Amino acid sequence: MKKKIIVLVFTILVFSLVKVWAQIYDVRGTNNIFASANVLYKEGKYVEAINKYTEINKAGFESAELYFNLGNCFFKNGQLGKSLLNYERARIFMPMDSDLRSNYNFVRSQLILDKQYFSKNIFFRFIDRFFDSWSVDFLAIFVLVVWIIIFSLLAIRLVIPTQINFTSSFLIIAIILGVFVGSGFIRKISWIEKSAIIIDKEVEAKFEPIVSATTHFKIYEGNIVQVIDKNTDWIKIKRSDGKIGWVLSNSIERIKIDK
Amino acid sequence: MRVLKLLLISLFTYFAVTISFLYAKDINFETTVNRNKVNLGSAVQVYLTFNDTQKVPAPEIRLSDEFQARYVGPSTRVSAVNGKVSSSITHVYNLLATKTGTFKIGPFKFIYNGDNYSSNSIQIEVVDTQPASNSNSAISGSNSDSSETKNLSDRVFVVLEPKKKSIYINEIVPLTIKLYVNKVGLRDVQFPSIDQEDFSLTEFEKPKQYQDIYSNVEYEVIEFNTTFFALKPGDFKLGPAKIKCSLLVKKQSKSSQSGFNDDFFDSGVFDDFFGRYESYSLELKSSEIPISVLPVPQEGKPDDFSGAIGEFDFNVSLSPNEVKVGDPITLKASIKGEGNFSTVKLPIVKDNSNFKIYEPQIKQEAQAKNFEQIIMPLNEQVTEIPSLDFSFFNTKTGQYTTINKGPFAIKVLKADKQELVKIVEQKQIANSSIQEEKLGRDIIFIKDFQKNVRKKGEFLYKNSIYWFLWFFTFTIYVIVYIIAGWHKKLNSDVRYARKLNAPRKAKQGLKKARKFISENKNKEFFDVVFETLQEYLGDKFHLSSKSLTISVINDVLNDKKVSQQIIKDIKFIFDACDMARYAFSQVDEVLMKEVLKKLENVVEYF
Repeated sequence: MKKKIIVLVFTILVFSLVKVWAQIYDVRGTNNIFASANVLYKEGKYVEAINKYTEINKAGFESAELYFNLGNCFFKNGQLGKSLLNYERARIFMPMDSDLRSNYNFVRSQLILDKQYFSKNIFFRFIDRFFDSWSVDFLAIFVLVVWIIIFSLLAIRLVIPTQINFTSSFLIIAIILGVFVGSGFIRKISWIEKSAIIIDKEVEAKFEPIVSATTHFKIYEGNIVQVIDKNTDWIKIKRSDGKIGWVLSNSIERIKIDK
Repeated sequence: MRVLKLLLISLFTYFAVTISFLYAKDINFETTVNRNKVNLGSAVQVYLTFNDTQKVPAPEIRLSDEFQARYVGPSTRVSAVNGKVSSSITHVYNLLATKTGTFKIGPFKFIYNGDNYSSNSIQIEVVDTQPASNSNSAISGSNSDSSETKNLSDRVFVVLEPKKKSIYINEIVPLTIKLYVNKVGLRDVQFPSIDQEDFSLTEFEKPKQYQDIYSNVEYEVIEFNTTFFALKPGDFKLGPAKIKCSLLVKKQSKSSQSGFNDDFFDSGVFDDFFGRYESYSLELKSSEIPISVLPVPQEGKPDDFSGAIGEFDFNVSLSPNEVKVGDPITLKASIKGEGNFSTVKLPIVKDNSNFKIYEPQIKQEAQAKNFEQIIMPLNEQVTEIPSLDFSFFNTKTGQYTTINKGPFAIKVLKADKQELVKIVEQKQIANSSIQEEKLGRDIIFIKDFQKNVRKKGEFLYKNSIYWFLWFFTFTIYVIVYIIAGWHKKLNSDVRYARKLNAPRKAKQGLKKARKFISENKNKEFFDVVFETLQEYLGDKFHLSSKSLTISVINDVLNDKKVSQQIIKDIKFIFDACDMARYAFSQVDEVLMKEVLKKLENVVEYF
């Protein structure tokens, strides 16, 4: 029995190592592609550079730098909507990066954008603004740490009843912090999962998912919308002012990239 | 079956409709009037009477241009003669006569509830005679006129009179709209309106009211004055001018219907006193006037011509004449005259490199446009403000005119040192900020390396281990919660604690007993067995262990309805222990093993 367990553990270990090694190998491959795409960019071959960078994405990998460089390429190629889309993707991983902030704000200044407030609630708007420069992974870790602290404090109160008064104030602070950061975390996830960017210069949102349907409103390149529903060719979107309409799926691109 | 049902329903419907048509009746109703002769501009009342019913609604009556119809309302009547009850409804209309002559009204026909209703026709003569009095109206007709007037439009009409019919683009032209009124009463006269895309009209002045002769007839005239100008060159039609008003028509009194149609009761005295006039809304239209709009000539057009058209005078003044560099000079300019001020602009100061010139403040008056402009000399070399040229096209002469004013001599002194420094600093700041903006107008270069490459879409919040940590933390807390609760109970509840510890202590006692059997220590064995059983039962039932006797145990166990076999076993163990104490020689290993076995049974049972 012992022998069998040892064999099983060993096999799992070997498979894990092989997987890790394969991933390292793949990452090295993407670095090579990244470098050659950079060369194309420096030569001013932006379309070729875009194709090269996209190969990394197609191989199933992504990085903040990849999206940053793609944003630059699309900007140089005059596709501001796609440029902003890739900067938004890069912001998910490195929102504090000063280069990214500069390029992001610059591209935004070149576009006709609505006020990007999807919530009328002042608390949520404050939260959105406060956590704008926090990455979703950092928020995830932060919330988990607060969660552990809250339950550790609760456990201490149970095990050492004499410390109840001492832990109370810490517990209140931790709970308030947890609610605050947790709200930011949930809204960040919701934003990543639902948001999309208009990539065409001008898009007509229709009342129905039919080409001949009446236009409800117009929305311009670079504006962020919420995806509510979709069918084969059409996507149902919600504009920041709350107006809902159907747009052709090729005029819009979601911020999140599925596996 | 279903088809048959449908067929039957269709047939039934068909027959029902056919029968209803067959039974449709032709019903006559009566048309009467209160009088067959009526004055032009007066009203005659028409009564449509339906007998033996009160449910017929007011029919819509269609008439030619000679009359304007207005529904007054219904009147119903119920009468009983010799026990026979009859009812009727009469719909009353007022017809306003707008043309002289003899006219036939009716027969009126309409369909109601499948029945065809038709009435008789009636002749009405409209004559042009002078009304008794119009003094109650807003505008009184003249009593002195005796000429033949055939139409109402001859008595009240609108005339559109532009001062010129050939005009230049943007030229302001006076426009007069006259409302002529003769022998009819008008009220609530509104300002005229002209729907025009090619002309722009200014607001109307306060209307004038006077008497005038038009085509040898004396009229009351209301005159509206305004101005207009053309927006583009070409041939256009101005008008029609529309005026909305209410025409006052004498009400027909009941007395006149009932035979008291004499001059006394029909006199204006009673009309005035009882307010016997009612109003009909009218919209009067003038005829259209062709207007030829000419563009301003290109020949002789000055370079600085900015579109001013009319006849103007131009005056300029400056103050102060002596300033320091950077101090303001106020240039006041006034353009007075007649013309289109909307195209009048302040002439530009030529050679303005030595000045900082601000946008002028404009004040518009009826016949003048005043400008105030701030000019700041930038250096002390400036000795004058260059001349200003104002050019306009004079529509009277058909030529361009340029009025030249200036140059204006000024004395510019050096600014104080501090002020100079200020100006220089401001310039530098302005320059540096512009440079900074230029530097920021491009994106930052691409990244050379990827720092953290990861699988696509692998966020921490999508990782199962991440969420396991959440669950694990919570589970640990739940376990701690349960253990802490158990400990708390153990410390506070002695009965629970004894009961909980009883099996553990019994197991220890049994272990010792087994050991003593193997070592053949009989006395120690029975001591341990007795002690174990006593403590075990004491802990289990929360009794004092030391004072436990077989009789106490017997009572407790019987209350708890414990198996009699177990009670016997307990008794056997206690008896054996007593025997071992007092008749030690009778104890052997077989007895000890039996005692041990029974003790094990007892511990296991509880």
